[in-house]
Amino acid sequence: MEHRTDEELLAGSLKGHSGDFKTLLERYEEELFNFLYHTTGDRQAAEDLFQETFLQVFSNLERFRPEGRFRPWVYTIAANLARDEMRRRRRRKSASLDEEISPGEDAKLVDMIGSQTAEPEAVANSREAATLAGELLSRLPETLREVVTLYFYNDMKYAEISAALGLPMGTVKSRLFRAIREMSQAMKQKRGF
Amino acid sequence: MAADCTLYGDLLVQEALGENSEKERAFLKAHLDGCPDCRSELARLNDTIGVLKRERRASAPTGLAERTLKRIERTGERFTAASSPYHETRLLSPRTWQVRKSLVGWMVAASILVMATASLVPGMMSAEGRHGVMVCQDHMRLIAVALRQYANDHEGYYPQGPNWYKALDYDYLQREGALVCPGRYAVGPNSDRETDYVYNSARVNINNPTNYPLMWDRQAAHERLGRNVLFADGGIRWMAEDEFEKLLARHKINEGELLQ
Repeated sequence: MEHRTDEELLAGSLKGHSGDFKTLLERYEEELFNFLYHTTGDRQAAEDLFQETFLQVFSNLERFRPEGRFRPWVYTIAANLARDEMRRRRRRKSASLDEEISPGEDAKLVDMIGSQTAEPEAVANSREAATLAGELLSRLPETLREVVTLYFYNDMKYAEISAALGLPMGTVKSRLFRAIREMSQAMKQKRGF
Repeated sequence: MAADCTLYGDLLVQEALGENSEKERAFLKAHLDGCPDCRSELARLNDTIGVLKRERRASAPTGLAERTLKRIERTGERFTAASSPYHETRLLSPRTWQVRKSLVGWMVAASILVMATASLVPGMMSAEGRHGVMVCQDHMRLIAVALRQYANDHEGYYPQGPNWYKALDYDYLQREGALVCPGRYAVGPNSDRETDYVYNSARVNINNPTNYPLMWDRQAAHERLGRNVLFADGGIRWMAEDEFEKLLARHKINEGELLQ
């Protein structure tokens, strides 16, 4: 069992100890993949983004400040990459259908239900989750989805999410509440009660 | 939910999450006893949270860490490849490419370029517009590095044709948003294409790389005043629209043909 902190492992990696970097990778393998999977709804994309995240960590090792914390750093990279990926998919959809507007952060979840153009192909094409939870999550804007994912599937507390995403705690809470309300409204429409 | 009920909105969500204090629960209960709408709302919230909690955590595929490590090692090799059959232009010389490995060097070079180009942007442009010009130049720089990297992996050949950018997948252009010019939002997207940049893949016999354009904004996106242009020596300059048109004419470049 490895008892060294993330930051100590990172310092070891900087000195060229590849074993330390591998330990770090293994430590984050499950939780970061889980986060990326629920954020993108796509196992393959989650794997690619996981690799991409650690590629960026590796190529920016020297930028890591000794007094900094690794966990928020790696989550910030992963969340940014996931947002880029979803944006890219939305743009592809937008370009292919010549839509004026694609569902974005300001689009209300309920507005998308039942609309022909509502389902973001970004998610629809990739979503492996045939479950209701997967469907609800996939229709949320990324900024809300990542908070929901960290809360429910990474078992993080508000303070941990705040640190991981670099957001004020109040913002984390309001995004989580807004997400739950939007999903609840979507369920209401879907089930008709 | 009645207008008064909006006061209880957050408490309802907190209740469904099991996060209300005893005092908050008592306060909410007093309201719920007389409000069927809020009771239904709470039932729906409980239902939603139940659905979310039943979803399983996703397990990472076997060997993910191992594969990631291998990919990092491969990338490292690519970055340190000494030789390259790169001859066509001086988009980024091998010497410049070495700078890529030194983050400090890279950042210093970028800052100098940004400072140098900032002074060339017309004073009549807004602060936001000037910022857009610089971000756009940053995007061009990233694309230039990605093109160079692509050529390294493909025996010195650069991607060809109007769909060149599709060859720059995530392995090369690691920031996908880099294909979009921030200036486009001020004037609106000009096409259904996934990039706002025109890439001159038809270049041959370049005698003066300092003045030979390799890539440029597809339209005068920056407040309709001009475009950024990447030159064959790796330099990036902002050019007023009339100056840019003269540049294309001087090199007999037909933009339409590049886009077909």
